Amino acid sequence: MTLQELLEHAQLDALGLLDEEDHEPFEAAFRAAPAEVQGQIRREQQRLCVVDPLLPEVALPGGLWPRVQEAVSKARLESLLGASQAHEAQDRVARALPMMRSRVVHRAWRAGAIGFGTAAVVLGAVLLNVSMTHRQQMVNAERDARSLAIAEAFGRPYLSGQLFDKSTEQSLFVAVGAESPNKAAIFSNASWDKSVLYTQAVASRPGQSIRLVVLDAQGNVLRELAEFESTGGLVHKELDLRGVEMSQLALVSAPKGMPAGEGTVIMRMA
Amino acid sequence: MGDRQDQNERDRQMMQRIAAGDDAALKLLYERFGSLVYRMAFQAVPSKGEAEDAVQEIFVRLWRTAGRYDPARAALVTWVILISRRQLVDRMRRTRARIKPSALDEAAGLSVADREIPVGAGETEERMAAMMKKIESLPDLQKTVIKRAYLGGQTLRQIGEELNTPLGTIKSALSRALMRLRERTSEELPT
Repeated sequence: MTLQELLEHAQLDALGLLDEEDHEPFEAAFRAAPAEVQGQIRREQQRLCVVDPLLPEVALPGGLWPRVQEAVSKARLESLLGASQAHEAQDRVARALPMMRSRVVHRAWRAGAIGFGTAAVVLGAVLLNVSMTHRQQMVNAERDARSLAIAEAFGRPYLSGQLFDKSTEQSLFVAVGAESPNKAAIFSNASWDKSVLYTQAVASRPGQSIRLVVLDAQGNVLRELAEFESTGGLVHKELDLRGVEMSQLALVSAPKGMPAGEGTVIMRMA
Repeated sequence: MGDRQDQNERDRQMMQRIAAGDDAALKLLYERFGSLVYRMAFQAVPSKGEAEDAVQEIFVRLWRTAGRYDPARAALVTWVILISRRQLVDRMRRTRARIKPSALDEAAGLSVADREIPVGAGETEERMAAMMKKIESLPDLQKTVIKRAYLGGQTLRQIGEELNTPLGTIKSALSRALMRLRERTSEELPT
């Protein structure tokens, strides 16, 4: 680089117009130049950098320093990790280590942050506990509801006895007709005031109802014990069956308002 | 002389601390030169918000170059101004890259109203108008190069390629143009 070129570069550099590629050769040429040339270049650039009288009289905005600090911190992080990873890393750091010590954070803010952080942890623990308690309560309530539904379905006073009392007797009905899905049973216990009839898939036909009857040996209806309608779901009915011979019981489908004898036997005792 | 050397050494140490990531040293630099940098940015860009963004960019660049600072190369204030100018020129090049260079060549009567003028810079507008007149009076190559470099946001290499002119010639033309402008405005510029 000739002296002329060196001076031209110095001038362009002072005005911010030197191309990026020329900076290093210029700086190298400057370092290699004699002391008096270096001095001349320094003075020339210094002269071109007396800008104060030409600048507008505006005040530095008060809140700019934190933004400058943040920008430099971000650039540092980018240079450490590479620009592509920096945003991800910042997010990770922000997510994972919000309490990490940093020199860019004012002591007061750090102290406040620790306070808030502690409060957040405590609050988080409380919320977690409340959440777990609430969840457990929900589970319990759901279980209780299911139990209640079962109890309601099977008759609360008799459910325990049906499940756990070996003296409880079960009398099963069988459907008349091989393809019928009808299911029915009666549970009775000497300690109970009443017996319990369960039916499932025993749907009453339109205009008809289901009757629990006592049949004689010929299959005629001797007595009608109960009448109900069903859409085919689980039905339970508490009945006073004391003195009734279980083997004589049957379910009849009969027109409403008519005697059971006018109907059809749909289930008999097994 | 001893005081200046002490100050140079303190400046060098401060820049080394900045390069090492010392925020306290960075704040010292900001306290000393933040106002100067902001005023330079305010003059160069069209809005207060952009000036603030530019200041952030300049301090990032000062941090990047802090490790290379040598008091023997330049006083710290000169160094800060050089770095600020580079960054502002880069920024203007980014934002003015949309301008067609051919339009600049044709714009013999380029008026101040056609340009982006900083907010609240009435005095600057007058100065720019006077400067534009002086630019128009330059020889063709110098005029073209200075318009493309300053107003068109082109690098000297781009100008050389587009004008099919050696880079050295472009640099010389720009340098001579600046010297001539300086001579013609010597009454306005501080010496």
